[in-house]
Amino acid sequence: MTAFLQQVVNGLASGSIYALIAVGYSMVYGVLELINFAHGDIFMLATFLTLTLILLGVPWPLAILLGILAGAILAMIVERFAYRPLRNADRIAPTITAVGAALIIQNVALATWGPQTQPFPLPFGSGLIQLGGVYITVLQLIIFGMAGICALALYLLVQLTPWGRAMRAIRDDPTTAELVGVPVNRIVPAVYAVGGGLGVIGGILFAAYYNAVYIGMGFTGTMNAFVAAVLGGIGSLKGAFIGGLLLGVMQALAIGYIASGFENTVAFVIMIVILVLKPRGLFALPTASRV
Amino acid sequence: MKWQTARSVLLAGAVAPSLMMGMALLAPAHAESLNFAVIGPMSGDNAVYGVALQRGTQLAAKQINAAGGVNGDQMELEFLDTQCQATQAASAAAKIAADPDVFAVIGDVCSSASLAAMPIFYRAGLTQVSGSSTSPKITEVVRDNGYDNFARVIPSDSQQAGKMVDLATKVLGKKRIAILYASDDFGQQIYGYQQLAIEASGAELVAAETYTPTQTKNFTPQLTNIASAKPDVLLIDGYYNDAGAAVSQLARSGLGDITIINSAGVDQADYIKLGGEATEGSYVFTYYNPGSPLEANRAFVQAFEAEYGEKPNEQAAYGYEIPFIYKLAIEQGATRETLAETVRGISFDGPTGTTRFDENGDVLGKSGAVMVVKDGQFVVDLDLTQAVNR
Repeated sequence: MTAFLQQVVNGLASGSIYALIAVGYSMVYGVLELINFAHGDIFMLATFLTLTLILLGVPWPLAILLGILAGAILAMIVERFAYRPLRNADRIAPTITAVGAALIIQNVALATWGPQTQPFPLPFGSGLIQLGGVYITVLQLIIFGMAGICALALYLLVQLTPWGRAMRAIRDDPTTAELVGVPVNRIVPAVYAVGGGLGVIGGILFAAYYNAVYIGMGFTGTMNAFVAAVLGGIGSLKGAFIGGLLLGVMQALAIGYIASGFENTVAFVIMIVILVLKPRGLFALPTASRV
Repeated sequence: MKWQTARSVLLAGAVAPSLMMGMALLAPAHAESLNFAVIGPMSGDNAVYGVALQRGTQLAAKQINAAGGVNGDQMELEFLDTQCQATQAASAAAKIAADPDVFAVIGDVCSSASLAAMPIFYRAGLTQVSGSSTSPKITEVVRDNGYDNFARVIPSDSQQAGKMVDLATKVLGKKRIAILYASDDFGQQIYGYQQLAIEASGAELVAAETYTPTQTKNFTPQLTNIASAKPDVLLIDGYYNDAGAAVSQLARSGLGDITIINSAGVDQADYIKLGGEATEGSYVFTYYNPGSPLEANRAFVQAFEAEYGEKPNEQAAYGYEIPFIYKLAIEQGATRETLAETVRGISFDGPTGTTRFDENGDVLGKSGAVMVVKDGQFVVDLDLTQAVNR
């Protein structure tokens, strides 16, 4: 039982990271129905930038803030040059430019920082709390806390602010939203910026939790975010968040109770089963399908 | 028009220096140079191994050339990056096999990459000597396919597996063993031999978990499983970056203060950098002891430190020996065609001891060393080294 709880706690920690990454990813999909393949690479580059700033002696809270800002700006740049010109094109076209943007960012990072995995210096100690035989690290508590705070802040932003209302309007119907005066070209970049920033928070926690910053973390992040978002019902923020948590716990339990080499196999099989039973995901958006 | 002129000027400017560079590169490549291809992971997550191999072989070639070359010919090395990947190794091997100027091959580092390149070199009639591929599968493949062109100067993991278990059970007196191994040719094979050794030792294998090298970053679920089996020692059969990440995640798995014995190859500074404080006191079994009192080793360590400003590791030391073994074979009259046969019959004294080969090209009579992380540095533990070689 202790081992099971330990696996669940550890799974929830990696799941919280997936959730943060998936929420930003799903938000973009919800608004534009675009699969943002560059999402992971944006936070990868921003995480490398944060690491470089910390190594240069910038105090870590400032370095993290600058990293988040850099991720938000990079997401807006990608939106402006790779997605906006194709907003009314066939849906496959922006998917291709997204892959193109991802490859460009990956190669810039590769040329700048090289292919080696680098440790992420932990500014806070790796303290350990024991709760009835289950170990929880201080870092895990920080991850749970950050995920909760970000989820709450995003919920308030989307539900209670004029910006959130405009975003929901665009999500429901972009043409009508524009007709009634919603400034689409201001709101959409902002959605990307918020999504990119959340991704960077996830990326930095990913780097700290696994003590690894590397080029491939972007692709790993994108894939996990994709699974989490589809699992929860793509486009739904609540779905992406819960999908991320589920994915983390499923992977941990797959390793714990099935076979350690089958981490992703098991996660994807479970995803297929859920999608067969609930094709639109666990928390599909209540909107009727567009014609 | 103007644009075209500008472009042709630019083109001429770009082409001229590269032509000159081409000529400069071609210049020493006439009949009096002896070309060797070196394959290994020069970039990617295992680049530390490839760079060590590169430094070791380069130092050897430099010393050989300064002392008059091989029968008067200058030794030239060409490095090809395989990133420890079978596909890249196969394409590098095909490229080398198509080049009639290559005399013989050094490498690869990773067993999976060597295994992919072996059939290609065999068909091309090229001699291949590896300094770091330790999988026991290589012995089987050489024997089953009659690959008489292959030899390796480092012992097979069938030997290392037994030594790691000996260190855990006989020397350190541990009874409950857990293993974390890489899911590639290297990891699966060494794990298989460790199972046999544990059975023979009377200790118990209480948990075994695997991971995908360079891809797995989250080792916590595996380590949590291992923790629930309450082992008193953990053997890690993997690479420095994976071992570093795994060890840094010990605390949150409830494995806090367990004794760790890593396989050879983890003795890289990056293991300590990635694993942090948790690596303190952990052991690495290796086939090279930089503090060995052999005269050949002292001279090598001194020359290596003078050249690169750091101590050589296992890949550098074994890589350093290969050009000298080729030199010795050629001086004994070997041609490109008879090189492998001559190499397999050779006896060579180098920094790692005396090298001789058996009928499968496996090296005979090498002993290991036990390193321990102390104050953030690798040091050789002399008592444990003696005990494990007894």
